[in-house]
Amino acid sequence: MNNPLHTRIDRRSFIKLAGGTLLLPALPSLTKAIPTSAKTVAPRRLCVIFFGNGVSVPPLGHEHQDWHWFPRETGRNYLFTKSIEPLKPLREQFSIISGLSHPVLRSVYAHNTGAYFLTGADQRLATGNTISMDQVHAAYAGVHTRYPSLVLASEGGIGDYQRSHTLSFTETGQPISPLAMPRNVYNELFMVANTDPKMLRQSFGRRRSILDAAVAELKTTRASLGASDKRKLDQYLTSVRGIEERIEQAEAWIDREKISVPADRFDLDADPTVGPKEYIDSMYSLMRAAFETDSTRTITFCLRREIAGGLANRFPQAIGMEQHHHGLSHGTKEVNGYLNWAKYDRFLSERFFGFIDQMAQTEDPVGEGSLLDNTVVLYGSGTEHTHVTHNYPIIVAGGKNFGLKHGAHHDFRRNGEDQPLNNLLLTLLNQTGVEIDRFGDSTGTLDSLLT
Amino acid sequence: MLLRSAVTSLLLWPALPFLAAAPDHFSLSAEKVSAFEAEIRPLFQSYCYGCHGAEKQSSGLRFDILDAHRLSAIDTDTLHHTRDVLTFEEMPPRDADLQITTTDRQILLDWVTGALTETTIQRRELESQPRLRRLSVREYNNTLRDIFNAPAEFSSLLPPDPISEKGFDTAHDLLMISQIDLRIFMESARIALDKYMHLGEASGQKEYFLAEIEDIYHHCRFRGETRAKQLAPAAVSEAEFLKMRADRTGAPVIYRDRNYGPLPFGHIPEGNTPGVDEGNGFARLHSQYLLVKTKQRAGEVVVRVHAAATRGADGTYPRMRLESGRRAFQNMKVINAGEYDVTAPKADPGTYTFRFRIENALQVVPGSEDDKDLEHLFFAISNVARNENGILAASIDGQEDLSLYRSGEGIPGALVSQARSATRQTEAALAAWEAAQTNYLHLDAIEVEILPARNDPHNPWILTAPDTPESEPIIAREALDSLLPKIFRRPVTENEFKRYYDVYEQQRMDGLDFKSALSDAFVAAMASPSFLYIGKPAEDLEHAESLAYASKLAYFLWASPPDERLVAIAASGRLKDRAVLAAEIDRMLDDPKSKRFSATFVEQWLDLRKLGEVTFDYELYPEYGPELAALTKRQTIETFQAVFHAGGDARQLYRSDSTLLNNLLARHYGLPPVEGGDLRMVPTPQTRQAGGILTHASILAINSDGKQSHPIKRGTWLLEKILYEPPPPPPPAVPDLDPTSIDTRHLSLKDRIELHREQHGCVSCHERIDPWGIAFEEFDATGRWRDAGSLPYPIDSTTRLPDGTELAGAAELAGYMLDVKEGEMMRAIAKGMMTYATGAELDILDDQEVDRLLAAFRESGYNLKHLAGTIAQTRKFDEFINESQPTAHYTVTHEQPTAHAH
Repeated sequence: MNNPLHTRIDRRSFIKLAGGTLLLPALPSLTKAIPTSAKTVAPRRLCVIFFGNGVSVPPLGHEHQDWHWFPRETGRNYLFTKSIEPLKPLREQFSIISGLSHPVLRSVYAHNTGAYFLTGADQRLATGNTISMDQVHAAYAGVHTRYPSLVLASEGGIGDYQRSHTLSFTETGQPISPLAMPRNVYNELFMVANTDPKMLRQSFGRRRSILDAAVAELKTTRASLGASDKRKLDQYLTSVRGIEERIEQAEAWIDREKISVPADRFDLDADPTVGPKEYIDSMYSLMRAAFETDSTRTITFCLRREIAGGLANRFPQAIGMEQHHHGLSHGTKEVNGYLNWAKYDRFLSERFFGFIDQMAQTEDPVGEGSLLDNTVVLYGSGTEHTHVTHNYPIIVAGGKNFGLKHGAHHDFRRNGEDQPLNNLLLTLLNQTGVEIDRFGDSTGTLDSLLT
Repeated sequence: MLLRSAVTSLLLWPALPFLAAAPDHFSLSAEKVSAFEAEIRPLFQSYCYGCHGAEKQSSGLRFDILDAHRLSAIDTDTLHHTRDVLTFEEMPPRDADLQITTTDRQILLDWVTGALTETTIQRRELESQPRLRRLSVREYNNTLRDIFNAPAEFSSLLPPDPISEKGFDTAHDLLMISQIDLRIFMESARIALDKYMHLGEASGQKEYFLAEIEDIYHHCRFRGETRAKQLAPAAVSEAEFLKMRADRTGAPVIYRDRNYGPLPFGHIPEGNTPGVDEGNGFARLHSQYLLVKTKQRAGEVVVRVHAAATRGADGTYPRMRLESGRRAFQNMKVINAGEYDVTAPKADPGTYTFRFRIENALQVVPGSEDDKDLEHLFFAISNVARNENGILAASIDGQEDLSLYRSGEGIPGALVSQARSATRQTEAALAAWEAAQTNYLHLDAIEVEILPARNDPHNPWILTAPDTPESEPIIAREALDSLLPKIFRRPVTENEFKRYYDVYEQQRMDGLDFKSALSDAFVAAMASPSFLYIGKPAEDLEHAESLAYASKLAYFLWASPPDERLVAIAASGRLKDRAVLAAEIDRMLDDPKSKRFSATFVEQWLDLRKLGEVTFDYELYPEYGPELAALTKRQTIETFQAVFHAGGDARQLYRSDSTLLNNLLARHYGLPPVEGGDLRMVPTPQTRQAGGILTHASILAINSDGKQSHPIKRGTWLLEKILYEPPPPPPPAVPDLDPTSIDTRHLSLKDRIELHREQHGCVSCHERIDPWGIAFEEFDATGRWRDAGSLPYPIDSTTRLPDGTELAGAAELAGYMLDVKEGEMMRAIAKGMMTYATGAELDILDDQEVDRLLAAFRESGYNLKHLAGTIAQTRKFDEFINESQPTAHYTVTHEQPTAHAH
């Protein structure tokens, strides 16, 4: 088990659950290329998966009461509801959490929950957002890897006014543009490995010379530009610097042994409009591969933003359900309304199970145990259900090697009041090695999640 | 060893401090603070604390904790809202115990307005008016179209831009550049250069194809597909082509032995469809598929289809659509190259011409499966007329050709049964068309001419090929000299020229080939701030401000870069001459490129993009579908354009004396039949769609949930877009009011909404919103009129507006809007266009400028073109050029408008 070169060969037979529908492509032998020197720093990874619109929570006594996302019981002896039942085989690998939400967002109409999920900032402030928790993590963990962080979403671009596509924000509160299509994610992460070093070096040189020329005019810009204009040019400059840093990082990697990740292991043409299942699984398998190759230690994935329209809104219909996601979330008074919505929750649970199961099955090439043991995965939504801004549905999985303890359903409400979600974010940051005592409006840590 | 890079040296700069977008707190003058304590707080206490105080916080607002010493950004939001409700006399509520006196209302309003003016001045001092704006994706696309002189798609790799609160994609603060964006800008430029930049000669040489459609072999799967590819027409020389063409002249016309009949109404699914047993990757009975052999991936395609019609017994003609692209198993990946009503008789077929770019038709993701093996261009010619007797059926041509199998050869059973099913469907459909004597399309021949981009004499990127090493620098210089100004939308300084020439030279010296090295210089230019940002004045350039303004002007009025003439005028400094500027604005507004602006503006202003986001219930609306939805959207866009480009009166938008219709729209609206599929202006004096665009199907449909009418969405939309008085957002933890969710099915929707909002205590806001939407109750989710009795509950469109006016239905509401709300409606258009043009939200300090703008708009007879021209000359649009108030013929009066101006 502790041999880094060891790979399990029979992963597939282990996960023949639900008719094999949860299978992600296995990636054997990626690990041997990772230099052993990297192992000196034990990885403490972070992965956040967000979906908008909340979950179905039929009231007690309702004909579909078994489809209530949250277990009715707390503690270690909770019973799985139908919405999260697919996760059952991994029960000891995660915790279910009730009673957390962002205090300042409780009094705001919940339509942009993704943007604030990892910040807890006040969306009404003119200053906009603050740094997201994953970027705080990336600032610590990202120095070890080729990519400080990977920001993903089911739609490209940063989203519209008050309708964010991304979970990640820089320290100045600027949204980080996500990658959306599997092929783009693959190209970003693994293309370089498949290119000839000489050509690569030349292409880096060309890109650098292009950027030098493009950016040169900013050295002399002294026209009467106001603050907001200067800020835009700073933003431009930051992007140039970012690319430049990446080139430097990539150059440093040219002569190292290559991690070759063949493209045919992924469904890179998975089209979210036609096959959401294939699409989500493809993104999950790329995320797993990113961790397995130690390309990054921080990933966020906005699986579906909080909006009535948009691409991911049609996911339920693309898997044969009658309504789109927004319709499901607003249709609980219709016949089978709670049930239909919860079936989609269950579909998402199946996908999520596929992801953490693969993480649990994959030996960590740079740490002890499995990838999941060294990765904390935060999965959840920014509303309980339809615009209800408290009690976010949350699952925390993994991270056993840095002190997380699982197997229970926790309700963190005190006297009926939620605790700040930032208490959880702070706890996870602390456990992943970020030594800070406050994050946003946090008031403490959630020690019952820890060993 | 790499040269020391400028970027590296930039990295050594101390990080520039990022300023916050705006201060979080404001302080008021001592005078305002003392007035607040002495006079204002007591008024708030008397009139407002009851609902917005310590005890109760209706709408989440409380005034008792307002601290005039230190106003937060959130407080200023609240004060803006307060100002609105006081101005429109919506608060305190009419049924409050204590009614506010006129004097007290005015005292409150004056203080709030004064306080907001002070905070806005503070914000602007820190913020200053923005001058730079990143090109939007849409503008970027138009820019490359102009630079490469090709109406192709250049922005498909870029992620969509953020849409502002008001629905526009021009918001300067939302248009950011991330690392990913910058890399995609570079990649997009590289791809464009690969397609269009060529060394050699623009020979003008084309690929020619001429095929008799009766000779076409086209089957779609396995052996049939292989055979279709083998037999696809190959390119011939111009001489051969002309000879083939001449040989046809006078010869008897032979049509393919197939009648292409019409489709039914409603949604025609593209994927695998029950009843057709396949997707439209296989030909359907109303379509003819064919391939031509070509490896071209960029260039102009001209297609001439020789076709004729049999008129249906009902008097209708077929409508021919040409699509082109490639087939992807169950689907086609194609673009619509155009449509014609075909009326030519069989004895004398007509020639119908289509033009498109091959690169638009063959858009493929680099590296994907589709990217490989593209050696054919695919065409689908279809009769897309809709008809009561129309049929969607499989075509035997769309299946595997079983005759290509020898007897005894094992044919997969699925193929055999599919082929049988297709044959049955075909026979049944042909018989049904025949029985109803529907219209038919007849296909005679197809001519195709492809002018590859590398041969195109109008391609500015065909450069002389260097024949000696010495000629290389000369050609590189010439290319940069002529093309950099196109990229930068202005003359280029010596320094700039050198900077980009150096890129070329360095790469060439490093061993890169000539073309790639030169291409790098252009990629650099197209990744630079001067290219990516509008409004950035160049350093060391005479009339830099005028040139920056010329770009802003062109991106406003054309959504495109300035042309050479405008740049030349700006570079000469003459744009500051008011008469010259006015003449240029007139010229630009008369140029067809201004349609890029008008189409974009109306689509964004009215939120028409939402039409793609509503999912309609096709069981409830069997005649509705994405094609009809797109048609209704076109109706609204072209209606706006018809008024705009004719210099017409904006009030015309809200009238229905005549309506832009075709056969399908007339049917949808229940109007007398209109012939043909082309939109035309038809007099409609008696229509029930009496509110102009307010009763357009597009508008009614975007404000529905796809199943039912939605008075709340309709009311909100009308307030936001038409009156520019957005209602506040609902408080948290309250589900959207769902008008169909209570089991009170016998009640009208109006009564249900009223009942529902009482239950949730939402009444104060929804009293402002719902009555506007109720008036449209006689229109269903797709914008169709519905008669009383068509629903299990009564339809009630009588409504009582917030000002107490009672009226019934959309026609009366439309009359009321024009009589009473004209001023607000015109102000809404003016403010909307101003927001679009400037990319900045309007604030209280803009009120006076908006008032002047509105006065000029009114004086012009609400001429929309005139409005656009006036906006371009406001200080808000550009304070450097428009230092003084405009004179010339865009005269602006300075009088203060009255509230309900006429």
